[in-house]
Amino acid sequence: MELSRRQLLKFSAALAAASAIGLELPVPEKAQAAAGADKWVKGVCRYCGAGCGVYVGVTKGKVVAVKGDKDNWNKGYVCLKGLLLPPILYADDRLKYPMLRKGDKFERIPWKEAMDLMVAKFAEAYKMNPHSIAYYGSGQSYTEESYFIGKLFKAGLGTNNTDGNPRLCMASAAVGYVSSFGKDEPMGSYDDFYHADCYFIIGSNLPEAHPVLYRILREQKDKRKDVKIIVADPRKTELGRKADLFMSFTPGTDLAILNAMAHVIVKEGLYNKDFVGKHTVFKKVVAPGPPPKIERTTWDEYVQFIEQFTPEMAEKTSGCPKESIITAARWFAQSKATMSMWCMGLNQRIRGVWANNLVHNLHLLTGQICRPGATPFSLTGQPNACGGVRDGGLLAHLLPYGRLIVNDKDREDMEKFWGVPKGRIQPKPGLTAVEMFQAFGKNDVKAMWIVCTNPGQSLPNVGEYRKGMVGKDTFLVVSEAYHPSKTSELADLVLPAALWVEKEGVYGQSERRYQLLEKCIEPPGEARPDFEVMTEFGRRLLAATGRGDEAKNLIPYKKTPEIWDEIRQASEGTAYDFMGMTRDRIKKAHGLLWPMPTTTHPGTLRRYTAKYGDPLVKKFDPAASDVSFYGNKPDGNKAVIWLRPAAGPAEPADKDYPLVLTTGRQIEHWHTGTMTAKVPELRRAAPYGFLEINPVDAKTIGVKNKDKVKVTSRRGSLVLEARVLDVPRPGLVYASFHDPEKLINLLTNDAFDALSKQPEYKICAVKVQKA
Amino acid sequence: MIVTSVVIDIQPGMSGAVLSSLALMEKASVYGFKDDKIIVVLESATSDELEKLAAALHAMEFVTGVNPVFSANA
Repeated sequence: MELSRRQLLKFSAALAAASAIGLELPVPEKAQAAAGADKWVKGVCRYCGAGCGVYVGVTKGKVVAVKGDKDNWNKGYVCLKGLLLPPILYADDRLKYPMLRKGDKFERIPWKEAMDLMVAKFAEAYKMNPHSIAYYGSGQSYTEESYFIGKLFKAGLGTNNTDGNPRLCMASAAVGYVSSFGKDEPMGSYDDFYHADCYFIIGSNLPEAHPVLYRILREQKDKRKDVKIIVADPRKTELGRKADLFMSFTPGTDLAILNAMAHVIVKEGLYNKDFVGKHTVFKKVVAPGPPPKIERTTWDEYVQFIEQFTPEMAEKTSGCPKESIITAARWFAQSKATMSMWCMGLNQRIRGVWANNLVHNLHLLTGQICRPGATPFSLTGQPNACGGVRDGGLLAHLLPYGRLIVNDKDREDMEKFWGVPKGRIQPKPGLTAVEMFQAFGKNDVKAMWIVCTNPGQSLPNVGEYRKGMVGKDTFLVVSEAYHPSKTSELADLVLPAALWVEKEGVYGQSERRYQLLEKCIEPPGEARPDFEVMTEFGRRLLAATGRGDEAKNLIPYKKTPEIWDEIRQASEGTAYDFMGMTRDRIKKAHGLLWPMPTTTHPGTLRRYTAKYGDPLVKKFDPAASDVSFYGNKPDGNKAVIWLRPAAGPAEPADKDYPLVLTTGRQIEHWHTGTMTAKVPELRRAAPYGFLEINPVDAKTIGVKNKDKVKVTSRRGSLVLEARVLDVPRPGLVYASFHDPEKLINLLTNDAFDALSKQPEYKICAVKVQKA
Repeated sequence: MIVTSVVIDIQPGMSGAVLSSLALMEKASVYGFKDDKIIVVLESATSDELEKLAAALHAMEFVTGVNPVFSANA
């Protein structure tokens, strides 16, 4: 007997509630039958960077259901958004045909005309200046797509102007890993959730941003009574309420707290002298630059440096009680295994890299690293920020698999690998996200291609950049699944894109896990996989710019599986080596974790430790008996403990703008809502943006719950409904960034971290008045 | 028909009493409970009726909070 829609909805509703409190509900077999799927195809959820394995139910060429993959890390669980994925494919505003701007309107044109025009515009700009073209991509594009565009622009066209939205969310984490350990990406994995007995979570709203990971955390807390959860956050979310120790602090002051924790660890002798001596070096910045001048220093100088960060000083700076700081430091150091997690709260800051370094410092000081459960673990926001844009080398300063644009040998290696003349890859990094849109606004970039992302809503200080995206002398192409979006409405040409399981590709997620998404259905109308459009564009643009003879060598493929072996080979011999991850193997597996240098290697749960299975330790550091941070060869395969001072935000609250605005996610939606707002259940559950205000501030301002308030920053203002809640601390207001009708990024600050170029979305000064 | 799930916060140790009260509510189904939280799915013909059901939950002895999670039209 099949379940009725009513029964199915009741179960879905219960599942959503169960996920919110970390309760397991048995999935009724009938629920799957009710969906009526003829076949189930293995895939990955389209949303966050956790990378839940799913099965996609298909009937008569249509996706009808999604269920969790019990054989994947998520053990069959998915969040409500994942469960309700099918409607995103069938939204009324799916774009089916290329559309060209004609005045204020868009008109349908044939693909040939669209590609002719796009190639002509890019060729015209390129001939004037090769660096006047740019590509702005996405942590949602497939690995094959991001890798290919990096190759086309950097090796084929000789410009490094390729960047993407991971610059807005993960760049500080990436630069943090590189500066502390020599190479990007976490050394730990989700397996560490099951071994840690202390979790230090800072700047993350795990229950709403990564609900299935939160489920694991709650499960561990419930099963193992000795587990301790420390949460540091200016908002007391569900996570903070469940914590054993909640550390509230003034936004932007957490660097003082992290240094004070190190102070306590050193003062109380809780550091691991043996680990520090064997596996770390100390560094400080002696001149800010750019580029900063860096010098090696000593343990003694480090101890002297953190002397100033007493718990009392940190309390005065941050508002976080000194007792909490001392307790957190002790739990962190003395637990059997401590796992740190953080997300945008640390990354989206002008000192995001420093904040990341300071978390790594705590792990290195205490030796809480490279053991089961002991690891610093950056949570990722998008499903392929790691695999495509970071690992695949799309970002403007990168080449694939840990290679850097500024490194002569790395450029030469990739020129040789890609078969282009020496000197083709330019030594100067290209424009990063904010710089790219600034250049577009000034006509320094004349032709830009935006793929699979929505910067017209998601850039900070977006009003300024929206103006710049409609220049008369520039040409903007947007590849999108939906139209209009807040970005496609500004475009000159919009190309219809296949979405999610309408095409095949690889996602690489938070824990170095690579997973294949198979094509399940045909895209609607004339929508095409981005990879096919990219390769056609590449061939034609190379021909139009006098490099047609190189196109055959550079672009011998049309579909994503055909490039995979080249991508594997690009990783060979690097610290990312996944030569063993053949297309056939990744197709059969339920996720594979690199390093995986051979086809018989099972994958690596923990990097930089021979004892726990990293196959590359012996290759890069034959003398190492166990731990080796082999990504950091210049420092003798040791990690770096940084001397980083406390530094506040770019725009603290002041008398004119007395509150701090922070932005983030809510559980029902994802990013700019282009997908989740198409799901009726999600839209009904959370139909519009709002502003959380602490009751203390609400009283001062004279507003009540559900009143309309006007929130104003130095860049813009917006009217939102007030939610008076004891979630943000006094002095802080919060809004999500999902609502396209309420662009909170009109208010946010585009000041960015000098090292990572990631903007400070998390902190800007505002005033709030009753509207 | 509107299907709505809520997480009910209850006073510690009072799950038995609250579950007994919930059993008497026709349009409320209990899907599970953990610690001091109970998962309940409500079915209502209209949004007005939903508000009344939520108010009834609020008014129930030992209930300290009613947190809607998900709502959809069946």
